[in-house]
Amino acid sequence: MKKYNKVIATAIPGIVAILFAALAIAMPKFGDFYLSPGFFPLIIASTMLLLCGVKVVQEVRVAHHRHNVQPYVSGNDRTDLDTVQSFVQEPLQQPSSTESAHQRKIWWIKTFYIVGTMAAYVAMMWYRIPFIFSTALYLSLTLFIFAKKQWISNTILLIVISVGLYYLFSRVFYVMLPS
Amino acid sequence: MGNYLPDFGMLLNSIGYCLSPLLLLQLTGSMVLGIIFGCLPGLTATMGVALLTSLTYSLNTNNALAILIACFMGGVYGGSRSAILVNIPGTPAAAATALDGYPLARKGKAQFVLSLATAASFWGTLFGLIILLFISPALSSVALKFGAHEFFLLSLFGIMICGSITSKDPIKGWIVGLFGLLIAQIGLDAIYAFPRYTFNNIQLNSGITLIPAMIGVFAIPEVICSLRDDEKGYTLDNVDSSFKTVLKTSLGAIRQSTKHLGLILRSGFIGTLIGALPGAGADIACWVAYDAEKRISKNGDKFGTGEIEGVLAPEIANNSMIGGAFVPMLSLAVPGDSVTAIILAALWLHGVRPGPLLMTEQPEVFYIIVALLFLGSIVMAITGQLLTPILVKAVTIPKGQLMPIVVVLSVIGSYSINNRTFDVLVMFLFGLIGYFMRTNGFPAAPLTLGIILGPMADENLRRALMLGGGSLEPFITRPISMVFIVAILLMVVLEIRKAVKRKDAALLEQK
Repeated sequence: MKKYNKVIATAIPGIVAILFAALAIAMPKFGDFYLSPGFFPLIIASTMLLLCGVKVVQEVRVAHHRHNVQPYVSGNDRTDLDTVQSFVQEPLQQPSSTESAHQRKIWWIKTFYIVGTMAAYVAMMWYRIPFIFSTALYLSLTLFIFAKKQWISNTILLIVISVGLYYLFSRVFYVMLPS
Repeated sequence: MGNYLPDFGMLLNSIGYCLSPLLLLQLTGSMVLGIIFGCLPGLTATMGVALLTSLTYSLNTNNALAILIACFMGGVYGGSRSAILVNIPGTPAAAATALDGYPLARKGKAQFVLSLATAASFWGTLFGLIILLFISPALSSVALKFGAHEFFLLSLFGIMICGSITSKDPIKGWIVGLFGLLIAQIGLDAIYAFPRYTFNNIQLNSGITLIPAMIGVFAIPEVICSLRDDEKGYTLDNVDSSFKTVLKTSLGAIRQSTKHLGLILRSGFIGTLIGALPGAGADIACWVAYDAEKRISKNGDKFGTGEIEGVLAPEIANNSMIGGAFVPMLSLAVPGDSVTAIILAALWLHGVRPGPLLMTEQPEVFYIIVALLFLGSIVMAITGQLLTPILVKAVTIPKGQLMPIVVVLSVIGSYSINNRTFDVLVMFLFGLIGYFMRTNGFPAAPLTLGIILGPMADENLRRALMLGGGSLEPFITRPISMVFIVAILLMVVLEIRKAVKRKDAALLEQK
């Protein structure tokens, strides 16, 4: 399954394109088809779907290739895998298989924590919790975790950013932040 | 504005008038404010100029113009600061600068690259200014020849260029660009006001706002990756705020930029020409200039890894667009973008009537604008260089402290566009989309450009077909349109050839 990760990642935009195209087809037609609201989205979604199709085929071929070649490299020899990877260069963001399961676990926990705190902050804005409170809470949940040793500067930053930005934006730029 | 040679006497008088201490002070203050607006993702030059317009009612026309023009210039210029330092473009146009500026900053050359971008901005503004002064009538007539067919193809051309240069795999870039075009279709249709992809959600009727989406796709993935991977504030070479060092770095950057005279002329011309097209603006100009330089440069293959030319080209195009944007505004009373639309409105408020009769009825206003742009570019270069060490120090802050602040600024920036929390949600959702794209090798920049160009592409394609009664023939018979079609086809062929060559090289290496 893991070897098809990139195929799946490329297929997702294709699925999005299908959804857009289907909804475009369902839009009403006023007079000539090229004037109808769904005309342009349908053309774009179809082109996107076509490109995704090409990309999926490419990725499937690469995945097969990767599966069929010996991944071990000794000395200066380059395997097919290297060739394929040099051709289709992708950023490898996730920890490699050589890293321990523990590191991978930490990696995922951190990712979820960062996204989770951000989601909580956005939710607080959505429910119009006062800006100073929500910002101070978000900053304390992140600053004291990711910059543990600098608690004095963290505290100063927390106060300056949450209070200072509120007054700067609401009094100077007239942006009415939730209060 | 007929054919004419500039009245240099009047120009010198205008420059002399603008050298008054009060006007220079207003110019500098507004420039700094503009740079701050440009730096902060979410605060745009448009917003800065709009805010300041209300403060200029009581001032005389020249002082009001000085404030608005300086804020505009500062906003356009400031976008590159955050793009270079933290890989988060302050303005959509600065996304191209981030491609090479950020890698250079990461190599420890933040101070130098910021100075280089400042020098590039200075040359760009100057180039646009010269074009405005000398060939604005000719440029206006070219701009007038652009009809629905050309605007549609121009937007398509922009997407294709952006897609092909931001990713090693152009197909991925094009997919993202098309996705951006689709996102731009959300909201009321421009011809029938039919709600597209809104799912009866009233918030979606006005579409997806560009700025929150842009902040999301650029800022959020950067924050997630930096915090997760325990990135430290990166090391910097020779960060010194002493006047001597600033001067030395600035002169070094200016010297470096002058070595690329051809690049200055090419990118300046592209920026001015595209800036003069109403609705197109700097966003396309930067990508076209970057692409042109990537193809011409001997180091084209290294673009995206920290090439000086990769910083110079988009910055020059970005700023030369300022002069270009004034061409249709002054000669035809047609604003090139949202900021010039506000400046146009401000001019009307002050009794100035831009248009074909401006040069005969109120020529002094034209020369005052040229003088302000000239002095503004000098003020921009000086304040920009002086602010550089302060800005550079920001990146030495540990990422654990910097990134949460970036999130707060992103939230405020998204919220402040329309004062609605829905935009904050959009920013977060686009952040997740951006993270998915980043982890799977999809570039973010074409998405932004797609959202910008989507309405223009949709409206103009349908209008073009309507004008031709559904026929595609005018696309081929109109000369400028034909040039675009050839350019697009050429680009596709070149990209395929490049991909095949790369594959052959890989196979050869394998053998």
